[in-house]
Amino acid sequence: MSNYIIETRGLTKKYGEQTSVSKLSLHVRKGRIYGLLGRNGAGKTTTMRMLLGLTEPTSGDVKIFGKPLRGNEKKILPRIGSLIESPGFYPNLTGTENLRIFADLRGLKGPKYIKNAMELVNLPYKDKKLFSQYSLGMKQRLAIALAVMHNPELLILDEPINGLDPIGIAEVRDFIRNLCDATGKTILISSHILSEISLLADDIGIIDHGVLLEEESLEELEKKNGKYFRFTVSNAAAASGLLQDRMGIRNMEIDSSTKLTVRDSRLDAGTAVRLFVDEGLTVSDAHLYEDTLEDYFKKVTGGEGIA
Amino acid sequence: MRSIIKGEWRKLRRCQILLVGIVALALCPVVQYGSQLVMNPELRDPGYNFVSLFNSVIWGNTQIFLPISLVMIGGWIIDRENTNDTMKNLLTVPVSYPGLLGGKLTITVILSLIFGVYSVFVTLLTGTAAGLDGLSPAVLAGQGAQVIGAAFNTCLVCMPVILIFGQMRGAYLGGSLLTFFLGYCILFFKSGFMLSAYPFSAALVLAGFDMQEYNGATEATSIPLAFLGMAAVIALTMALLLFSHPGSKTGTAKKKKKRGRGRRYPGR
Repeated sequence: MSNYIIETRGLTKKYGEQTSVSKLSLHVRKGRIYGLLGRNGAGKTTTMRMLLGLTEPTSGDVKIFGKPLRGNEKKILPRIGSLIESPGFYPNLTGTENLRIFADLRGLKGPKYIKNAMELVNLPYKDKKLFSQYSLGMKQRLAIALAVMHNPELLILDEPINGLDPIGIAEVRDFIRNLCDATGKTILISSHILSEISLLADDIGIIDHGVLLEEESLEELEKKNGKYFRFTVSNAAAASGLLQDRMGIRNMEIDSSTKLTVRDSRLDAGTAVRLFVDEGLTVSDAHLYEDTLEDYFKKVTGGEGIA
Repeated sequence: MRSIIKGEWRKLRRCQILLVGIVALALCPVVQYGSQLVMNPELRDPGYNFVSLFNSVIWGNTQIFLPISLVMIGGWIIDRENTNDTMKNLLTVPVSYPGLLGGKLTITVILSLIFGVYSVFVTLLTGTAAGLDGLSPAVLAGQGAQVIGAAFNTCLVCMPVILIFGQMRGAYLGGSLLTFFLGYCILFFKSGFMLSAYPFSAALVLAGFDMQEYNGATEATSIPLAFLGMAAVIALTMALLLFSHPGSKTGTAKKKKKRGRGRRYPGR
C-alpha cells in the first residue's frame, strides 16, 4: 500500500481556456505537515478544493488514504477536516450554535466535541456573541475549531493564519505543529507566507501558475540552498586571481572593484584570508551567506519573491 | 435526514426573513375584511361573518400572501448557503446536495403549517375585533383545518419555484414575484381542466375550498384533476431534487463590492 495519505496524478483544472491547475502530482506523507507554497492565484485553493471534491477536476486522479476520492466520498471525507478560503458560518448564530449544526451532521453526540474544539482555539464555549460580531481572527479560529472538532486523521487547511494577529499566528502554528507531533495527524497547509511554511512544514511543494515546480522535504531544500562567501578586499580582481591560481577555486564572481563572491563549496575562508593578507591585499570583510527559502523560491519560480 | 432538518430548523434562529411571512399573513385578514368595508354598500355582503372571513383568508393566502412569503423564505434558505459561504462546510461533511435541498423544503413545509396555524389565529383576532358573528367551535375547526390544509398545499405548489430560484444566486426575490403572478392567475381559470388542475387551484380544491361559491367557477371542481395537478408539481419537484447538483463554483461566495456613498473618481 502507498505510504502517501494524499496522492494526485496529473490533476488538472481548466476554466474555459484558462488552466488553473496543470498536471499536478502531489504526494503527502502520513504524519507530516506538507506546506503548499505559492503566490496568490498560483492554484493552491483550486488544488485543495479538488482534494475535497468541491471542484471537479478536468482530468487526473486524486487518491486519499490510498483510495480514489471519486466514488468514495462518503468514506473519505468524514476522515478529513478542512478550512477552505474564508470562514463560512451562519451570521445569525453564535459560534457554539454554528458548531452544533455541523456536530449533528457528523453524528457527534454531546457537547464535549464542541467544547473541546472551542477550547483548543481559545474561543469561549456558549458565548452569546453572534458570528456576525466576530473579528476576523475569531472567525478564523472558529473555522479551525470546525475542522478539528471531529478528530480527523487528515487536515486540509487553506491559508489558516489569514486574519490572525502575530500572537494568534504563533498560537495556531504551535497548535498545528502539536496536532501533527502529538496525535500523528497528517496536515496539508497552503500559504503564500513563506516564513510560516518554513517554520511549520516538514515537506514543501512549490506551486506557480498551477504547476507544481518542486516537491521536497524541508531538510532537502535546506541542503539545496546555496552557501557563498563574500569578500571585501582592496583589489577584487587580484584576489580572484590568487584564489584561482593558488587554491584552484573557479566558481566566483567579481561584483565590483573591491567585492568578490565565491560560490565554490571547497573554499576554506581562513586560508583565503591569510593568502590575501600575505600577498599584500587588505581584507575589510569576509562573510558567509546562505540562501533563504525565499531566494530558493525566486530561483525555482524564476521571478519575484513571495511575501 | 433528521439531522439535516434539525440543523435547518436551528439555522432559522434570529432570522428576520421570517417576518415576511408573519407580516404578510397578519395583513391578509385585515386586507380581506378591509376590502369589504371599502366596497360600495350595495355590493357588500350583508351576511359577512366568520365563515366569509375565513374563506377570503384562504383565498388571499393561496393567491398572494403565502406564495410570496414561502418562495421568498424557502429561496432564501437555499440561497444563504452560498451567500454565507457555508456550502463548502456542508458538502465536506459530506451532506448530499439533494438531501440538503430536501431538508430545506421540509423546513419550508413545516413553516407553511406554522403560518397556517398563525393565520387561523390572526383571522380569529381580526374577526373578533371587527365584531363578526357566526363563530362556533365547528366553524373554527372546519375553517381552521381548511386554512392550514390550503397553506400546506400552497407550499407544495411553490416547491419547484423555490428550488429553481433558490439555487440561482440572489434570485429568490424574482421567484417570489413570479409566484405572485402565478398565484394571481387562479382568477382566470373558472371552468374546464385548469379550474381543478391548475396547481394553485388544486391547492384550494384539495383543501376542500368551494371554488364555485368564492371564485365564481361556472362548473364543479374535479378532485381527480386536482390530484393530477398536484401530482405533476410533486413529480417536477422530485425531478428537480434528483437532478440538482452543486455548481462548479459552489462554496465560493462571490461578495459584491460595496459601493460607498462618496463620489468616485475614475482611476483612483
